[in-house]
Amino acid sequence: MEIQNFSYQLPDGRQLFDHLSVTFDPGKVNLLLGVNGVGKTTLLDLIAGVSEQRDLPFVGFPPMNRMAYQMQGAPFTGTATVSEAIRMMIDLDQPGHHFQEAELPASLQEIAHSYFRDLSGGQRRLVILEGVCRLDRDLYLFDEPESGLDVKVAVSVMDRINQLITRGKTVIMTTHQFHHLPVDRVKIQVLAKKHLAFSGTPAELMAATGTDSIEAAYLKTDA
Amino acid sequence: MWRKLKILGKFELRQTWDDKTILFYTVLCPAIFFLITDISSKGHPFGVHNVASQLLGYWAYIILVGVLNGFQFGLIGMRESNFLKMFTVIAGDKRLIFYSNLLVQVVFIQLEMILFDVIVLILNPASFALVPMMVGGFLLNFILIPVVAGFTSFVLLLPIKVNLASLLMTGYILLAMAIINLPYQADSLLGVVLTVFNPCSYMIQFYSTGLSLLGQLTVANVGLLSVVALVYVGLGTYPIRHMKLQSYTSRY
Repeated sequence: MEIQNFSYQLPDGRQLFDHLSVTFDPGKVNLLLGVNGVGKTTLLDLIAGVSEQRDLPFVGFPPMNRMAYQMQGAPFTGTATVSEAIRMMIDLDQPGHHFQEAELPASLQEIAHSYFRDLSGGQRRLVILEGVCRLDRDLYLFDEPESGLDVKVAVSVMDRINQLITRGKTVIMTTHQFHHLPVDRVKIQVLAKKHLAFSGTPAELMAATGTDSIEAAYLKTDA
Repeated sequence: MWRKLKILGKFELRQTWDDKTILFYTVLCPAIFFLITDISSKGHPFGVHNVASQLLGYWAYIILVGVLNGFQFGLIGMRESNFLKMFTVIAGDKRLIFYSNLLVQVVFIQLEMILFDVIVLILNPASFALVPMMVGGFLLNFILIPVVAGFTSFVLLLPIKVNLASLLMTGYILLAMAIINLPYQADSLLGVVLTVFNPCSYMIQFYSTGLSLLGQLTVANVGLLSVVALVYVGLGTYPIRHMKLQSYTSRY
């Protein structure tokens, strides 16, 4: 999956990408890193096909119906219950699978009949993450999945994402949580100043920066 | 595709049913207006002439408001809350969201129409003579509602927020309803122009022709209505392909 020589301007005229080229590895967690506003979410939107941009130089990405996307704000209709939302997602994706509430993790079973409008921001995100991880797609896009979650819950979410990799799926993700990543199956892409500042494995990033953790290495990059 | 439409339709129907405020505009408002007319006319709310054609104005209003509020604003609301983006990725195809939403609105508007007709029959038992016409109108609505959705689909392409859209549409509804009261002949140039551009005029002509009211069943009339219907249903697919999924008010 490749983005080739891609330039993009925001509606307000700001240049976000200038001849950006990125390659995402299949079967891995492709981490998109960069400072706020560098264009990580915009890039995920463009990959997912929910941007109005046409004729993109994006090669090898699956069609929209083979992607799952957890968006940053966890937008969902407030009049649906947790159970209805997950059931709808699974029914659409997996004909023949009859969703039971008992399949939900304990933390979601307690709120299975609560409306989205009555959930906290973290709970909403958790429900969307549960639904997205249950979809059987080829490419999964996660936009700061751990944001707003309790540390314990965030760890369980990262475990769910790791499970996707063990099932041979591809993940593209933005995150500020570097722990609990399957380091041997991670590719890091650092976006900075409209370009790709680094692309490689965590070990390569740490070696290039002379550090011993992804977090420390990232802090030493130009991003 | 049909399986997904059914699942999305069921999901959206539950959400639409949960928000019953639309009934205020589509059933209660016309019912109250009808009641006031009934009282002020001492039991002759439709007057003594063209009884049937009076009912058509109420139906046109219910469909226009139902389509604008339920379908077009529903989609704009989804877009501005960024749910449309999320929903489209889940469904895997933008068209599924539009068509399932339209399907739900057809069901909902038909229920509103039945409810309004029942209120008319209760308040004005003399209207029982109009029951066959009500049944005919009900059947015609299955064609008419998608056509009106096509008529008004331009709204989806406007770079407007929900509040502004509400204001604009209130004016649009008032204008569309006011125009049907202009004194014109259906086969005059003005009549043709209004049939082509005003959804309410189109609906009145469509009902009148479909129900063979007012002696307007002519080849020219049927031809005009069919061409306009095909053009608007065809044009209605353009916003489906080109409507933005991203909110105008919030980047994410």
